[in-house]
Amino acid sequence: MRKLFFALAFMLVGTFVFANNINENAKILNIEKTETIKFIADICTITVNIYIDGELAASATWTDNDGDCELAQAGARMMAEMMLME
Amino acid sequence: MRFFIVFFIVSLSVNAQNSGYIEYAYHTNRGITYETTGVLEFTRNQSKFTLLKSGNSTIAEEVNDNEIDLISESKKRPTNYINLDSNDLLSNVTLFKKVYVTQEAIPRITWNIKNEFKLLNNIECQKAEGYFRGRTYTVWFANKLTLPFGPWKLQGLPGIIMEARDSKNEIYFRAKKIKLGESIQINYPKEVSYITLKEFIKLKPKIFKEREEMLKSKMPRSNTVFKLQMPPRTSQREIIYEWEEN
Repeated sequence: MRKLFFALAFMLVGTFVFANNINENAKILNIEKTETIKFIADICTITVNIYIDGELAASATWTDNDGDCELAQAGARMMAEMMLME
Repeated sequence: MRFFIVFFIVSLSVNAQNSGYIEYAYHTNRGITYETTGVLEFTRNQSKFTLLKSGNSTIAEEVNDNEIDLISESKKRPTNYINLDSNDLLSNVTLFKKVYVTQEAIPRITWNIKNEFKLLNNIECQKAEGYFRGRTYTVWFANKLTLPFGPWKLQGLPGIIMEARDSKNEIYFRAKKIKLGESIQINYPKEVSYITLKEFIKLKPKIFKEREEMLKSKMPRSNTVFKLQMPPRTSQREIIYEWEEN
């Protein structure tokens, strides 16, 4: 009976010791982990379809990689109108 | 004497059918809806079809989220000339400010003439169906106006085409005004430098590339990308050409 009690006590203590070891490993991993910073830049694409006499004549696409849609719209329109001027 | 009077009347009526003009309502719905009038002028051996300006504002635009439609009309109107004697079809095509005159042999459309009739502008018309450059057309031709002309490049029937519609409902012509026996003078383009249609179709991607480079050179040096794209063929009246089908 005394031996059984001793064995159970040993197992209980062993579990705690093992659990602490896992936490230690986790800590080591945390220290070694490198942090990745992901930066997503907004882009803005504007397409101008040019129809002449009812038929699609060309499509002009302006992509602004800084995400400036106003600039992209003005740019695409300017290009399209340059093509339309006769 | 009676013979001469009859002969005179008959020859007058025959001549009356040998020249004249027809106004067509033209309706197209390919991306945008566009409506205007087309005028066919014809003599015994020549025809000229001109798409007139619609009369609406020259530049309109529709803005969606990231897409703008600029709608315009060319100054030099699209025109098709047919000369039966020389078997020529010349067309004015405007591309980036420049007018090209394309030349091709008069296309041979295989028409399947049906035994169906209807009245159009009080003229009896017969039905026919034919395939032309990627589209199947149902047309009604006046078999009493015995000339093989029609709107745009549609022709080759034993009478003038009065109505034409493609099976996708994207192209529609309908005669709305007819004047026969008018004195018509067709100034068939002579001594113009033309390009064959086949060469022009081959040249088009190069023209687009050059135009794209020219526009890019005028762009500000910022973090931008500009692309100029040719329209997909499915959006055009002519989707595929004979030499591409073989």
